[in-house]
Amino acid sequence: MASKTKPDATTTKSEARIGIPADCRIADVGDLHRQLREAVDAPQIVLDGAAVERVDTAALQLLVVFQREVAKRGKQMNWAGVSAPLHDAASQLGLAQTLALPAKQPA
Amino acid sequence: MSTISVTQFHKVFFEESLEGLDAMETALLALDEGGDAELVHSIFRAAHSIKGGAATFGFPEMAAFTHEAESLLDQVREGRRAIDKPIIELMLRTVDCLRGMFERAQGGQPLADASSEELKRQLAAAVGREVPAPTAKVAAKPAASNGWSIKFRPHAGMLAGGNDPLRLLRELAALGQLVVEAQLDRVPTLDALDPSECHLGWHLTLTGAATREAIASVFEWVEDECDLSIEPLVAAAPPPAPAVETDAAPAGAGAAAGTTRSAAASSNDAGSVRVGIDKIDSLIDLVGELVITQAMLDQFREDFDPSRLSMLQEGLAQLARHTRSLQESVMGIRMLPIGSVFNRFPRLVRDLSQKLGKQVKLELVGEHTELDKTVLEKIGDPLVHLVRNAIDHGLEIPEKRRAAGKGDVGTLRLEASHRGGSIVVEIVDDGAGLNREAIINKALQKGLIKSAEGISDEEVGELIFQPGFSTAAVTTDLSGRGVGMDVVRRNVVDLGGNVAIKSRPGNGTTFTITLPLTLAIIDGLSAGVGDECYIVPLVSIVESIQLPAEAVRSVTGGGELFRFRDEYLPIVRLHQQFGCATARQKIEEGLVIVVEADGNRVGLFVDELIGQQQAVVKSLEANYRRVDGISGATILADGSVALIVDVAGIIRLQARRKAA
Repeated sequence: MASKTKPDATTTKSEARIGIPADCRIADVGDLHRQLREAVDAPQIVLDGAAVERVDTAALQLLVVFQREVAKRGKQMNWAGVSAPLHDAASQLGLAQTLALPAKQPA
Repeated sequence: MSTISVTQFHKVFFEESLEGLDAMETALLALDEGGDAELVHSIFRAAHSIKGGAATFGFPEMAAFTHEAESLLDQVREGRRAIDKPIIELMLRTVDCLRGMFERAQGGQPLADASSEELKRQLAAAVGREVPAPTAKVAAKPAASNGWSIKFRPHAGMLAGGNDPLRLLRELAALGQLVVEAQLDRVPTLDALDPSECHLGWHLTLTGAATREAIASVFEWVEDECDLSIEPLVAAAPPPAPAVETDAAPAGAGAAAGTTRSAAASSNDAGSVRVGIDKIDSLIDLVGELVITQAMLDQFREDFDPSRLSMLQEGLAQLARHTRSLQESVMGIRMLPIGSVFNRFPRLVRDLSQKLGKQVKLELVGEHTELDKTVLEKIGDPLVHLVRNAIDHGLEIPEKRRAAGKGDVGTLRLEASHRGGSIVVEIVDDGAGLNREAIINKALQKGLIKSAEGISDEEVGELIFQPGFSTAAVTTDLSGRGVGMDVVRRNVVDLGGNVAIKSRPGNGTTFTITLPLTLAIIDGLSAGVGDECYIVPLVSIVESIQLPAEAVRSVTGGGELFRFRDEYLPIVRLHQQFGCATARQKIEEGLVIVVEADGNRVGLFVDELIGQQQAVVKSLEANYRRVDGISGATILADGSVALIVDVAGIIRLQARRKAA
């Protein structure tokens, strides 16, 4: 949780940048699951959760699984933005640390 | 004497004491409504015998506790102290506390706990004795601010079922300070993950004054969909353990005691039935009659003279009559008055109405109606749910009632009666009725219905019985008590009964529970079909008729209809249904029995009616396997087996065939 957004990481070509949709709940997590599976082998992974308005346990579970998968491959998942609802939900479920969410509203 | 173990008497002591406590409670409630001094004596006597028994049978804590209550009652009895509301309240809590002690005694646990010690101090303080503890005031809250350790692991399908742990955790967080620790040990790999399944679990620590009930109610809708354990935090010293806290006392404690009590009761279910001596006497009489009849018939064995045929016939008729009475009496032993269930309601209503600031008059009608013991034991909880709902959601607060042009005091009537072969229990309130709009909105939101259009009032009533329909947001208060109406219905249906609801907007709601009289014997009409004999339960028969061939119309798709009064009913040919080869085929040669179940009617075509008889129901499933359209079997007089027709099942099959 110390250093997350490396400024140069976001500019690399081989970066996978995934935007999490505003309504990210069980009915729609299939799409995100597919995107994440495609992204997991990219050298750089950036998740953008700035737009998230509604999120549920299914979506957060998916993110946790993804995070563990990324960590297993010795890489790091970076957050480009985390909306307040996303942050609140993750904290409520005790997953904020696992997901390495920035303290609150990153720069 | 010393060789006799007193433990063998414990059970009797418990039973008698619990009855004594019930009597105490009833008397206290009567006092609360301005009863006379004689009641104080009966309360005192009950407390006194519990104290004596507790000391004799080796429960010193209970004896010491009851002693304090007795001292207080003694002062009242001798007129040294007026009986007032606080004392009645205190004594009611004493009754609850003693019930808790008995439960723990039955479970072999230590009797005293923090709340009992606290109550003992309060009793002593009321008596005016020196109090051995710092908190002497009645309003003292116990140091119950410890908390709960909750282990919560949803089953995989919980998310897909529409229940989000996120929402549950948020609700928990509202009850106190919640520390969340997610369990990731069962999380699969990204490729193996089905994102709609839940693989997470949580260890939660909730600190604050939340009750176990409040926590359990958060999980009420998902209890079948997760593994859940709620334990008091063990960090604190042993005495202030799961503490029934005094501030949430009356309703909460009473209800908690109620649930655990029934659990304890069911665990040693093989228990006993107390039977009135009059019932035993009538049994002995009947057996005496049987012996006489048997002696009379015995004469004919020696020398039978055809001229005495009429005597033989009379003797046999007598034998039949006595056997039937004997059977009824023996069944009657299992029958207990529903009053034993109704008795718990005055207290519940009093506590609940006080808590909610409503004025409720409770009317109990038909307490002497008798029900099978098994049915009786299982109907208690559904009734409690319905009564609670009626007071919480049905009846309005005095201001609203006045605004609606009604008196301040709401009426809640519980009425039990015999109706045909069933027992009907009605819960009637004169409150606001169902809030149609709120229910429809909630149902739309929950996705139970597609649109609000064309929904009849009956269908609205049905909605509240749907699983997952929480009334919590629809209704005003008693948060988290949005009681599972689907559970109520399930319990009643398990007993072979049904629940119906009727709402009169502005004038109240009526819940009608219909229960079978007994589960073991039915009255039936035996009908011949080919070489077989089937029993049709008498309760479902409307009438039987002989139809001319032209009265029956064939319809496309192979069905047959006939006109009965003002409606057309389908005909179900039992010989086709059950594959009886030699049965009569022509409608005019046989009979049609019009039967009804769940409001639907069909005509059963049989060869002939044989007669009315009682059938002792034997389970087909236990002895063979389940067969559609058959509810059980019975043994006929000639020793052959007859199958009992499941009318509701036949109608369902018929409807399915029609749909196909």
